Amino acid sequence: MSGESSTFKRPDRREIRSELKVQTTAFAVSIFLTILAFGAVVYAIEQGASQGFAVSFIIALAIVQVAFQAYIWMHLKDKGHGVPQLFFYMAVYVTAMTVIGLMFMSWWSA
Amino acid sequence: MTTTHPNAMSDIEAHGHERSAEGEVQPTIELVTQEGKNKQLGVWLFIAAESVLFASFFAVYLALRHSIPNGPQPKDLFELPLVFVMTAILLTSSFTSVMAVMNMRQLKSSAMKGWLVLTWLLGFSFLLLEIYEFNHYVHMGHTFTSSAFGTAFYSLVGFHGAHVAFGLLWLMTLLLRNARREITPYTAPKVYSFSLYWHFVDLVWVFIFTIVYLMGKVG
Repeated sequence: MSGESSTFKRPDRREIRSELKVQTTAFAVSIFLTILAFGAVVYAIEQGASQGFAVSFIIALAIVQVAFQAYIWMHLKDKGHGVPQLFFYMAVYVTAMTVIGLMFMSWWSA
Repeated sequence: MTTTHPNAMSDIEAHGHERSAEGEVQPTIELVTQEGKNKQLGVWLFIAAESVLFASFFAVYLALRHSIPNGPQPKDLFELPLVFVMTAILLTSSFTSVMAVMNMRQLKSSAMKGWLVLTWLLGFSFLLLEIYEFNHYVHMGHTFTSSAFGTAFYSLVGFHGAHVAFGLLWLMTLLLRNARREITPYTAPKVYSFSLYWHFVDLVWVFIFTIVYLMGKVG
């Protein structure tokens, strides 16, 4: 253990209450978005609705859900998270390039 | 350890940090030491690298998911109720690890450990369901070598399952090693690092259930 002076913040009751509200809301939103995505697919299968629309809709829901969880559960929204945010954006950028690039190549050669 | 100065109440900048009366920013317990800050950055760098690794598996899956010369199709294989239950379990375990970190910041040791044990149990049930699922698919003729789709599917979903299994080992080690320890600026970053990793495993699953299972049913 390092011998640095350790004055850290212990959240007070009001902060705990508000943080609990934020985190629980994120959980409720995640569950809601998941139900929405499964519901959309079940609806598309049963009603024979446009598959292209269903696919774009569930991918959009997944992106929203991941953003929500990264910012709230993984604390990217908090102060002092500049470098983690940079890592996160770079990861999102390279991930998108990898997936789009490889799919484009496979379509091109098909 | 200091508690919040009453005058600092109006200066709260965000959850996690606030400015004390002296004007210095007070971090929460897991970020108070240099070691804690380094660990947080290290885990984020690891997460960024892992994202690229998973991206390659996702890209390969998307490119090969229609390559099924023989063997069952995704439409016949996947059972949405099972996948939904697995998703709900993993989401809940991510939330229980959030609760563990919240209790850790309040220095409530037994509450933190309780939430971590719950996280472990949920993660373990997820893993059992995944083993059941894979076993079921193999009996249906969908194996690692049955088609390119099979290879891409088991590589991606199995790699995620291996991450869950590693996370469970990590959490168990953490719980056993720190069973008799109090929450200190030395032990807190260990729990926080695990919680970041566990959220990442959950994030990857959000894309797996969307791209593999849901798109397998409609795409």
